[in-house]
Amino acid sequence: MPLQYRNVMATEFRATSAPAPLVAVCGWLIPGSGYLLIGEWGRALMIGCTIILLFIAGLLIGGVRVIEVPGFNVDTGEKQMAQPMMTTTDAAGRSAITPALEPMLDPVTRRPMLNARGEQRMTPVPKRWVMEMSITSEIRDKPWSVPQALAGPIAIIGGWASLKAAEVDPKTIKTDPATGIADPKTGTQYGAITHARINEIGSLYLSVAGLLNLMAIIDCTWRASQINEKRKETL
Amino acid sequence: MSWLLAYRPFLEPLPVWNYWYLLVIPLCAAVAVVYKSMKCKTMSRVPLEAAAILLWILGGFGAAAIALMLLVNWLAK
Repeated sequence: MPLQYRNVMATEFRATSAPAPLVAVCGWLIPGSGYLLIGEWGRALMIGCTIILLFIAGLLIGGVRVIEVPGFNVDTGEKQMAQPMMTTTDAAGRSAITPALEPMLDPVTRRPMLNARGEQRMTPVPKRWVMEMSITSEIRDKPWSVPQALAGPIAIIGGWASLKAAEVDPKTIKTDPATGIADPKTGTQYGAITHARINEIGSLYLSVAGLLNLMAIIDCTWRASQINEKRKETL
Repeated sequence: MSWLLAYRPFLEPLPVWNYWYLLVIPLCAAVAVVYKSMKCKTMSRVPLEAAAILLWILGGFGAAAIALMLLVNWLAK
């Protein structure tokens, strides 16, 4: 059976189509739905169901915590905070990276506080969320999140579930019999974090689902634009 | 089978530590189905053509695995 075709993509021209950008957006929101807007039900069902099943299979294989959400700690699921830094140069011309400083304010008057020499007292800038400081470096640290996000809102829901699964189950928290104080560190998280091959395969499933959805978005958008061009020519 | 009973879907990884290589089959099948769904003019041709391309992909993987195994064995001598 020959596997080569003359045409790059099979196209069946129809009379009407939704605008191409709308087709692209719908294709991202619900995988395969872009084809619905151009009237290709069979293709929509086949592609949409396959992509969604592949994504769910990835979550079943690696567990929901296989999704690494940018801006959040992989182990604890808490917001990832970082200290803003700055480069300083001393009198000898040597540069060093130190915590960024800001004037210390009087808690009552909110005016800058001065030291004994009349200079402004400085304090390190409070830690900030990494997504506010450097979104690119955070996404570079979690590169799988980019193709996974292409699968649409299902990936966002999966990311939310991943953070929820990283929370500590209150039932598992142990209380110190001597002090009667419950230590949250003794509890276990709802979901287990995966390692090694199973983690890689789970991530791969999710990423391939996203990349296949990107391919489907490009294909259905191209088809929609072709239909609209053909319609303009016939008018 | 007790290990499977302890499995909590979505919260724990699937306990397939010894059969992980079989997970390539559904992945390749999904790629084949989506690719052929875009390429074929009629959807009735998709199952057969997707099955054909799936066999080609798996055959390619197998051939690459054998070639790499021979190369590693040759280098190890």
